[in-house]
Amino acid sequence: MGVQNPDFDVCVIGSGAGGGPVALRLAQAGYDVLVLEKGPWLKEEHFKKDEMACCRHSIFTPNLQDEQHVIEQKYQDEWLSEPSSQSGWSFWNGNMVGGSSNLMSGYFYRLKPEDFRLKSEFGAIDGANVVDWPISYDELEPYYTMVESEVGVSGEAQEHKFSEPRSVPDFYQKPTAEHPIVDRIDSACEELGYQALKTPRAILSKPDKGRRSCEYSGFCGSYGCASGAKGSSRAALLDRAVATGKCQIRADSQVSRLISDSSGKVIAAEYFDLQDKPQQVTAKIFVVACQAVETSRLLLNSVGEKHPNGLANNHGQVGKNLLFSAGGAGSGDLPYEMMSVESARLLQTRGPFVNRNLQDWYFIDDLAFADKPAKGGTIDFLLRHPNVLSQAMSQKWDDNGKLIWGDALQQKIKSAIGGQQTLNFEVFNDWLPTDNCFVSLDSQVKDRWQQPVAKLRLGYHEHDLKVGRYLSRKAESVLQQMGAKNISWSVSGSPPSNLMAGGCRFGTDIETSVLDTDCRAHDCENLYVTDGSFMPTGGSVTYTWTIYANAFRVAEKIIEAL
Amino acid sequence: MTKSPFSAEQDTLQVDQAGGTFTLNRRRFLQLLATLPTLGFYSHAVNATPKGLSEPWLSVDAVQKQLFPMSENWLGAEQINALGYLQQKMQRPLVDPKDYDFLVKGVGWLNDFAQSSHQQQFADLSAEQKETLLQQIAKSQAGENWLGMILNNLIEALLSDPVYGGNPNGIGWKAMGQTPGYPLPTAQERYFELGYQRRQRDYQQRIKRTTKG
Repeated sequence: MGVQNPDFDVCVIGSGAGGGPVALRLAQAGYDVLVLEKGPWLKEEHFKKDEMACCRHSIFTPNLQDEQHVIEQKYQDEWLSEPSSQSGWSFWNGNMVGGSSNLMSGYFYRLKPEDFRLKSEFGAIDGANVVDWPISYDELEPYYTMVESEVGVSGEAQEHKFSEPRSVPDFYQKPTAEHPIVDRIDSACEELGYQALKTPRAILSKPDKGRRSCEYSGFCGSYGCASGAKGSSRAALLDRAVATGKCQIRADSQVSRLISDSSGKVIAAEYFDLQDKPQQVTAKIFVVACQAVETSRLLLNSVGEKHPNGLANNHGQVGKNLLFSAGGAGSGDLPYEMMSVESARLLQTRGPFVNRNLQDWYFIDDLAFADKPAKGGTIDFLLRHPNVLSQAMSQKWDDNGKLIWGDALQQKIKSAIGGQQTLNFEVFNDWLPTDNCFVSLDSQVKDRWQQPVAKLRLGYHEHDLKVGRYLSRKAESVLQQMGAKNISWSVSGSPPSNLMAGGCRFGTDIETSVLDTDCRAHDCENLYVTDGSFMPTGGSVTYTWTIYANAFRVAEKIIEAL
Repeated sequence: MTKSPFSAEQDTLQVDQAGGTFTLNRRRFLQLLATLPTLGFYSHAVNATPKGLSEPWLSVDAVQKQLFPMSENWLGAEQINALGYLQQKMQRPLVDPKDYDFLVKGVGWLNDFAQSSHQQQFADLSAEQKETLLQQIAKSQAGENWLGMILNNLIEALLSDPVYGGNPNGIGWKAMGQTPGYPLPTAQERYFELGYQRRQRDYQQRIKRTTKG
């Protein structure tokens, strides 16, 4: 079945962390690969440290009038929806070749063995769809290790009570340079009896495979990397895939649907090119990796004879159990006037990384929290973002919410920017999968190619907040021990839109999962999903390393299938 | 006390403090554009002196200088090229025409208010009178929104990359204690020349072409 003489062996839709490993491995194996990417192809030479381009305006994400989402949230007892073009709450995360991996900060964590069997380890939680994964940590471990050298991960393996097993003793590269503030964090943690760990990063500390090492501009997260040191799917994988001569990337190509034949197999991808002209391309195998929300949306929009409710959705599972990262964020100031001139000079250093995290409560065994062991999470420390425009604009209000200007405003801006260092922390804990967090299609709002947009219902589980608060208090104690001022933090059920997964669970039961153990659709034999959509539970760290590792794993399965 | 004309608009105007969001049709925008000084896109040569200024820039210039006055320790609006920055911004591709409309409307209200309270244009008032008037304006929602927009643009002129026309030679970064990151953008790499911003610009031109006639 399928098309005679298809245009490509494999068509990969989406070029981020889920698409890159597949494109590279298949091209290396000699197959003809096409990558369709909706966004532009921006390269190292386009990535400048310009807050106007990255943040005040965005060259990386679509205009919300053209392409948006509908966000559904609970107010009192009612679910109310609002298009993001009205709220301005964007769920786009970097639509370009390499996807949002171009814009990550690159702090990289593996999951731990217990994350693969959350239900067996900690039991069910009322109102949450917690399940075990169909594979174990041991099955993914070789691919975590593979990512360390293929993507380029720098770090230092350390013994810790919750360390995950490693098949190689140490990291591919030594850690990146560290900011002087780490001495203060380390001392505070030691005084408190906590074990501060060095955070691995998908950032090169030494040149590798044609990429330069980190140049320590200090503008990393939210910015594209000008040196190529950041392990984006583009810099680390796709540039190499293209160099094989077997991989073609078509940027500015918005895939609107996958067309399936009467047998249920996918035969073609339909997309709109830069001039908005509809195009079609055929392939033997299709790999969808558009990031969780858009992957589910594409499948739901791809109705066919054998897939009347959308591709791979005959059991109504596509879009279900969408995940984010639960937790929160906080900060504390270290005013320079509190310290010696030399100490202040050190803290003002711009460039090196903080590279510190706490996983002492990745699992919580504390009667004050619960009467049995529970899943906790990770605390990551980072400096205040060096962006100034947003920081300065928020200074124009006084404590009573009245506008200020003149010398008073400039004084306040200078003090906010140059008067202190600010240490932030982020808490990552499991976003429990529930029936109230999922992707569907909106019945009214369409994108500018007249395709229904994704509607996101954003329910959360109260338990997530309880864990987030527990961890935030631990993080707060570190800031207090450091003598920080103006310490504050917040934990809410509002999801971070840049940390998404789930929606197409992998599993062994066709009734409760979309993909099989190989991340192939249960009811569509030539369709794979390789972004974070496959994750049944999310773990308590950022997702990117796991997405990369799983995509390398699935790439081998696809080669076997071809 | 004279009632500020800004307060009359309180309920009808809503401005997002970050961007300034309004509705305005294209026809109205084209009318407004006709009132702009005739400079081509990408022009860097905006060196108009106050005496040569026409409205709304004459009043905007006076407001900017009142909000960021010259002083011994701080930067005045002129030093950061605040007026030139804003004039260039209003001619950039993808600028929201509603922002310019709001700027002009605010200038109208400001001078109505100056006329009704002092029988003078805002720019002709003394520094004390200007300050008092701006303080009064800030008490209404629309006035606060308008001043907030002017302030945001002053801050952009103070701290955005010099390639956008403000912050000459990084004077604002130095004064505020900011260390910029490198590499910095060139004129050909301003946001409206790249990625989705560039694409949006092309898309709008395409739509305009296909809907003509």
